Amino acid sequence: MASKTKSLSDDMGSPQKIALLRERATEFWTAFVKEDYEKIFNMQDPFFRAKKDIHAYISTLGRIKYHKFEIKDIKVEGNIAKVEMSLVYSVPSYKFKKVSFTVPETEQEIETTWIYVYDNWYKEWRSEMVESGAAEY
Amino acid sequence: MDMKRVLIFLLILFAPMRAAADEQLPFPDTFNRFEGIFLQQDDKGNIWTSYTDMDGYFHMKNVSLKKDFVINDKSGRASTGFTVNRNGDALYIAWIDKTGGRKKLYFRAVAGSGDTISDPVLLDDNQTEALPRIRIGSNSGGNVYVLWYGERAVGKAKYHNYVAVSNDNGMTFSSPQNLTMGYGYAIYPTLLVDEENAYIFSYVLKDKKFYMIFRKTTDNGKTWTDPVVIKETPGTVTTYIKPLKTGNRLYVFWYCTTKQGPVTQKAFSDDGGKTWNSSDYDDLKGISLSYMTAASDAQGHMYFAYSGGTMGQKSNTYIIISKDQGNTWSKPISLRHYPFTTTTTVYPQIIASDDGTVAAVWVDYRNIRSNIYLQYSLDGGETWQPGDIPLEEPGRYNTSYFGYASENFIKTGDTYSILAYRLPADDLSMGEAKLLVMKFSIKTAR
Repeated sequence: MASKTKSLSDDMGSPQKIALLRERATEFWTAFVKEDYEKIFNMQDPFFRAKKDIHAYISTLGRIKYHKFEIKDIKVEGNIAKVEMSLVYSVPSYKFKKVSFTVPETEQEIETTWIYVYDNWYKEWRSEMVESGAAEY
Repeated sequence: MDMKRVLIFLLILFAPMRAAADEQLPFPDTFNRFEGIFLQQDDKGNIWTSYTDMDGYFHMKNVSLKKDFVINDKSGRASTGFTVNRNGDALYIAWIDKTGGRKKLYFRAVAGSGDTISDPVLLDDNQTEALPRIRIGSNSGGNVYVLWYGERAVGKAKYHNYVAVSNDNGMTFSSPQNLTMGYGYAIYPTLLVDEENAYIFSYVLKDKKFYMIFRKTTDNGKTWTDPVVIKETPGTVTTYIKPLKTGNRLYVFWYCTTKQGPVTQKAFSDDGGKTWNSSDYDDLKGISLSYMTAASDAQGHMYFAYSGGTMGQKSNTYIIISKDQGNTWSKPISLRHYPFTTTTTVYPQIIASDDGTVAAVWVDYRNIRSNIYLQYSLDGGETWQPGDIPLEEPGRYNTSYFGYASENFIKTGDTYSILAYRLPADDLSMGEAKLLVMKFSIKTAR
């Protein structure tokens, strides 16, 4: 198990830093599978957490169910990383204005961005609507 | 190993020194980080910092003697556009009060380590409709020049550059004089003052064409030469106009956007501004600048530093060097020694010393949180340190400074000081921040 003893901000991408990210990404998506939304919030980047109320954030989660995931590749460039992974998700049936939605279990390849902020890796929160995040770098 | 891995290995091998700067946090209160900040040392050795607090009051703090002066104690939030200039043991301050629909331009002087502070001198009572982009220049002859732009229309032309001049260290001033009469749209007042003369550079509009023009005074502001056109500009000039004097050569840099893309231009004069030799920085064609500055030393070295990049790129920080008073220039050299281009750097500040030492600091986002980094050269920019030096613990705080309206990097003896701020949290939208002075010397940074 990777361990973190001091800040790795100066680390350009050592095996230790990559292992720590693998551990964090696994923890993050395991929390999604287990629907541990408080943990998910706490692993989002600190810039997002500084602006967003935890309860407001958690209330937006739960519609999509995550069943499995697999980390395929990790690319670290200093304090920014891209994590390629596949995950299996579904959307149980729900109604929105008389229209019923459902998505069966589906496998999808995704790429997520993680940022190392002083003491650990955090999942970078990004708004899909405006394609921007809370961190400005 | 491929080249990228070799570079990473070398950067780890030459891992930078840590926490090279001593930090002073003399300001327990928060300040408004969207206003300019100023750092000066007077010739009595006092360190002065100036900033606007959250209620709009502008403070001049003698950090050395722990004295605090509120400059606009009667106007608070009605004030804007503060700027500060130092000359000897005096600090000159100008600002605008907007009250009752009138724009009033004021001036005050603090002298003798703060023993004396003048009453506000009203330079303009809405006559020019002054706007906040005020410049002050001064010399040891007691001449103080305050240059600004006002929005009052003269004929059909709006926006002019005005100057008010004092020949008694800021006790009394001349009436405002319009230095861009016959032109319009002069929105970027730019001033350079030396021991003999004062020079202004104005980006102006006339007959649907834009020009960079020049005027100077050789009689302490009593008269000004007729405008000399330095160059017709190919597009819209932005706020970045930087003048410099190296030896007897006058130099000016500016940045403009054109239909064909951004262009950075420069011009120099060896005959006191009568004729100008202008050219483009060919290497900067198509490069969008987010900030630029310049410095020179007594050996004729000139340094032009900027942050910017092409569309879609993260802004990086570069320096371009001339060893012949700006006749020829090097290719852009990245000040940042970092293998990845996924994070931004902004606001380079440089100080060039006559012994060939060049110190450059900038705001760097490589640690996601912004930190101040240092690079230096001991041989006039020929060689630089293999690794950049963080002036604080990387990634721990959000530390930055607002480059546009500030003068916050000084050298006194062997000590460099930079006035910066720290945000109290990671909510970057908050205006409140705490000031800090970071001090370092090249000797201790090695």
